[in-house]
Formats: sequence, structure tokens, C-alpha cells
Amino acid sequence: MKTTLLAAFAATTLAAAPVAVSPSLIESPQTGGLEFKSLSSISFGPNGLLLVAEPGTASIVAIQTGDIGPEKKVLDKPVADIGSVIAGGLGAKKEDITIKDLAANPASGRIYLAVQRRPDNAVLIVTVDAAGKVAPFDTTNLPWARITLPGGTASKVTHITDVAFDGTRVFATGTCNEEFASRIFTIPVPIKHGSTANVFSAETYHVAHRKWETKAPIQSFIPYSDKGETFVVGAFACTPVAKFKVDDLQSGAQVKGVSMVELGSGNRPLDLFSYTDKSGKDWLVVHTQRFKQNAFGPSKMWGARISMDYLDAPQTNENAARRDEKQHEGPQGIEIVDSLFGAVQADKLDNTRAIILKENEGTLSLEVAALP
Amino acid sequence: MRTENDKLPRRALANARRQFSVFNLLILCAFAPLRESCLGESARTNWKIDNGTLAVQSPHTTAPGHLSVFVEGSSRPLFGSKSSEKGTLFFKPSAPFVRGQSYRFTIETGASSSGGYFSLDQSDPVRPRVHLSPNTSLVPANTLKLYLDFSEPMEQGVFLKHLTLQKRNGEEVAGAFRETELWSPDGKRLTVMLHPGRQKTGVNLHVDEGPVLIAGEHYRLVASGQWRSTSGVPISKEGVFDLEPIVADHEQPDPARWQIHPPKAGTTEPLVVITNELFEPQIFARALQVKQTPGDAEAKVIDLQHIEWRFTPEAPWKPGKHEITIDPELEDLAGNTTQRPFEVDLSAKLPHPNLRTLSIQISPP
Repeated sequence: MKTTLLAAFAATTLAAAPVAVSPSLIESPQTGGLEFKSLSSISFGPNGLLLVAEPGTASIVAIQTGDIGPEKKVLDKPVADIGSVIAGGLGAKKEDITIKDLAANPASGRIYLAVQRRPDNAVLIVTVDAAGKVAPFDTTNLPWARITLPGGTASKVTHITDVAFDGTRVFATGTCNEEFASRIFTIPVPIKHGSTANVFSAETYHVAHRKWETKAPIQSFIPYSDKGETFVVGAFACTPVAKFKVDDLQSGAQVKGVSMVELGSGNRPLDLFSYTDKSGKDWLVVHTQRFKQNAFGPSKMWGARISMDYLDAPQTNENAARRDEKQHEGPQGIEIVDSLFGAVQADKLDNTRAIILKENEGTLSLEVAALP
Repeated sequence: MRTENDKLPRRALANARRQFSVFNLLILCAFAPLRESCLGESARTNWKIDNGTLAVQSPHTTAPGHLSVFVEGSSRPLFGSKSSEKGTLFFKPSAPFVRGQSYRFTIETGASSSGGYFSLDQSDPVRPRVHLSPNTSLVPANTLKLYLDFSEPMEQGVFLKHLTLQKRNGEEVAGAFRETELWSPDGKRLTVMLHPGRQKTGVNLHVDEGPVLIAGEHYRLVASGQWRSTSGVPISKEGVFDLEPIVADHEQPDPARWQIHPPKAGTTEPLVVITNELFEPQIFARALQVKQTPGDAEAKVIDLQHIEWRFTPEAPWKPGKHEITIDPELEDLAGNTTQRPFEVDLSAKLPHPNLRTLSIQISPP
């Protein structure tokens, strides 16, 4: 096992070649000097555009990675005990490493992990290639832009829960350490270094207790378009899935979400993504952590797929579809995704596969999970 | 498996560690010839740490790929970038070298092997202290948030391991906290959010598991003594804070019931506001502002039900009407704001928002 790990281990990076900036994505890019003080969420846009949430500076950083294939190579076998591999490269013990987020680059198949080391809280992004080789992500020659969220470091938003790109805008969601609040941020594209974001306060209906959930933080989300309208589809603790119409809103406005689905109480959503199955049907995948042991699977960490039809359903709020966590199946169009059991992080790679970070008795492995 | 350290005589290792303290080296001079610890042969290798980067001069190579750096005792090389310039090899670790940690570097050319040891001296350890805010044991049973204030920035990602809520008999309250970790930007303040799903009336977790706090019971919030600062120094003595929940608070704070003590015109006496319930003092201090009047505000708990807010203007007060604005997002311990309670029952009449401003009249002297 050790030999395998060492073979998979890359100690250093070679200086990356300069990467051309796609003018449609980043405006006034910077090169060099990019450092992160903290990391929370990471995700990929098109053409190797990596979005990084840095809560310590209340900012979003867009990086043109240049990691665009052309050949897409996917992890050919699980990377066992990847926590030890990363910890070794950071000079730390395995238990002093937290993998805060995972992003699969759809353009190349390469996997990016946001990592934090204890006790000094140093952070680093590492990459994992198809051979399982782990290397630090070298930004030396990469174009990047930083957008500060409204209020900057004086902002009450101290935790950026998720970040994503829908092709026309960057979205982020944030919460606050002083208020039980939820914010949605939008950043126009091209992403201009030094600019700021629009902000909306979000509230939604809580299906479980039939009340307006005035300020519950959005844990994870995807941008979603339907009939020319743009929505943020967000998941909350305890776990309504709601959509927020974000067209034509002025910054500072309050937006009310419409609850579409309730997955049952005691679930904390971790990741959200959509995909299209072989038959052409669209699904929303909600990867969550149960408050207590799952009645129908081996782990508190589990996932469900929800037919995207629910996002257009007339039954909303108090009449929204509701899964009974004590039942294995139903309602129709809501199904358990077996391959997500045990996953502590998950991200879509393509319409047939997700990349997951799977925990087994305290040891993490990086794996490809088949989507049904 | 035999490690490279095994090749070294113990005395040589000890000498190397003692002699190659980085800061001592820096005091001596840059690239002064140093006694080296030999890994295979006796070639001379000079090195230093400058601005977090290891710089090495070797008589055998200027190829960056020949240089590797390890935590002492580990066979896994550190992540980092390598380069060379004017005969010097450079290694900048991807995450900074850690003070007090011993490191080993090797230069392996195939034909020769050399290297050395170094460590960054640890500055005087400062033991972190921890306090609960607000500093009170009587809290509403539906309390949503409390705060732990540390004297040093703390390690993150382990608060659920180091923080427990215990019943009077020492039994831990399982699932007491919201799992999302919320630190202030300086890393010294942790928001302790009691699990909203259990604290909110009517949510299934509240029904299935019960609330986190029950009025009339006695609890202890315990911060583990193993919790480390970012410098690696543990609290050592665990922080223990008694909590005695009282009746739940579902009411909006009502500023109309706060006491206001206006100052005298022509003075810089503080304007004082005293609430009729508890808030977190640091947040409350920022939540109130006097319109068009720069100055400093502070707030403190004066007893179990009152916060005192004191605002001292930069310039003497002018006579006339002044207005105090209240942040509409200011929450009491149970998450109620002046504008609405934390929980809104849609089947009942919606509550009316309370005042967002307070007016005071300052009389001429």
C-alpha cells in the first residue's frame, strides 16, 4: 500500500506555462501573487475556469486554470487513504487535515481539492490526475481575478457556503456568524478584478413546520434556467429544496424562495448538482448528511436524486412533494442514489459519473461513483 | 522499512539539530559555511531559510529536481515549488514551514547524496484563554447562538470534537450544535449555534429528538483543554461554562421599553441605553448608531437581563433632537429581531415590527 501511495505522490510542481485568458470570462486579470488565507467552496465553470470562495476575505476568486484537456482522463482507480497522501505533502498528520471541498473539472477530468491544515489553518488546493497523482495547484502563471462581496472584510458574511457559474453569471451563497441569515450573491461576467457582487437576502418556506423559514442559510445550490427565467435552486438544513427567481432583482432586494421538495427532517445538504440520465431525463442530486443513522443505508452520508420535473411542479410550499425518511421509496421521482453512501464530498464529473470523497472508518478515499 | 534517518549516526543527528536552528543561522550570516549533517558523503552544503523559502548551495548540482524536503521522520516529500538561480537551489513549501517542527532536506544527484536538518524556533508559547459571551448562565431555553471568545486565533475544523454540551450528570447532549463552523475573520470568535432543527418549534428534529436545552435543567458547555491555537498551544485547562435555561423567548426585542439616559449638551458625556433583555455585547455595540454623530460605542452585560450601551461622541453634543438607529437584523439570543420573531406562525396574525429608531432630545445647557 505504501509503495502505491508513494508512486502516486508528486512532491513538487513544475512552473506552469502562462495561460491565455478567455476575454469573455475574466476582465483585467492579475498574474502571480495569488495567495489564499482560507478556503470554503470550489467549483468549475467552462473552459477550466475555477471559482474559489475565500471566506476570510469575503471574496470569490476566478482562476483560468488552462486545464482544458483536450483529452478527458478520469481517475482510473480509487486513491486510497488520500488524507495521508495530502497530509504528508503538507508536513502534517492525517488527523490534522480537512478536505473542505472537491471539484471535478469537466474539461479534463482532473480533480481539485480544497485543503486546510491544522493547527495553523494554512490552506492549499491540490489536484489529482487520472493516475491518482496528487500535486499542489500552482497558480504562479495563471490569470485570476478577485471579487469582493459587498462590505468586504467588514461584511457580516463570514462563511461562503457554495459558488457556481451558470454561463452568464457567477453565483455564491453566504451565511453570517452574527445572524441566522442567508444571502445570494451574483457576479456579472466577464469577471472583473476588483469589482463587487450584487446581494440578495433570501428566505423560503419551511415545508416541515409550515412556516416561513425567514432566514435559514442555503447550504448548497445550482443555478437553473427554465423558460427564459433564471433561478437559484438551493438546499437548506432540514431540508427543503427551494428555487429563487433571481432575474430583474436590484441589489439589496429580498427574494422569497418557493419550496419544491422536502427530503425529510434531519438532513443536512452538502452538495447539489444536476445531470441527465441515459434516457434523457433530468435529475437533481442532493448529497446530504443525516442527523442520525440512516434507516435505509450503511451511512449517515447519503444522496438522493430528484426528478427535475419537481422544479416545475405546481405543488409548492405547504403542498410540496415530501419524502418520508422512514420509507425506502417514494414519492415517485425521488430515489436514493446508492453510490453516494459514505461520501463526505461529491461533485458531478459528467452525466454518468460523480467524483466522491468516501469515508470508511476514518480513512478517506477518492473514487468515481456511477450515476444511475 | 529502513528510513534515511537510520543511516545517520545518532550523535550526528543530534549535532545537526542543535547547530542548524534557522534563526541562529540567520543571525550568523547568509550562506556562511555550516557544519553539515552528511547523508552519504561529506560534500559541503550551505543553506538558509529566507522569507519562508529554503535556499541551498550545493557543490554538486544546480538542478531543482535534486532537492527534496521532508518533515523529519517522514519519507514523503513536502509539496512545494523548486527553482534555481545563480547556483542556488530554492524550495518554497506550498504551506508554510511550521515553527517548532524539524525538517530534513536531501540533495540526491544519483552520484552524490547530501543534506541537512533545520527547524524554525518556536516563539514563546502563549496559552489561549476562552470566555463565553454573553457572560451569563441564564439563557432562554430556545437560545440559538452563543459565542466563544479566544485570546488567540484557534485551529479550525475540529470544533465538534472539542466542544460538548453536557447535562448535570456529565452525559453529553448528542447533536447539540449546528455542524457549520462559523469563525470571525480573525479566528478568535466561534459562533456556537445550537442546532436550529432542534431549537425550532414544530420541526421534526425538535419533535423526535427534543430541544437541545430544557428550561429548569442545568448544563455545562465544555471547551476541551486539547483545543489548540494556530501556534499549536492547547488551552490546557478546559473551559467550563454553566448554562441554566429559563423560559423560551419568542418575542421581538422592543426598543420602546429600553431606558435612555441622554447626555448634557456641550459635553462629551456618554449617551446610555439600557435594554430589558440580553444581547451579545459586541454585536449590540455595533448595532446601534447615532445618526450623523461620529463616536465610539461599547456595550456590556450589567446583570442577567440588561445590556448597557454607551456612546461617546467625538465632539460635544449639540442641543436638539438626535436619532439612534437600530440594525433591523440585530438578534437577541433566541434569534428574534425587532422586526419579527425567529419563528413566525403563518396561521396567526403576523406580528407588527417594532421600532427601528429611537429619538432623544438633548436640552440646551
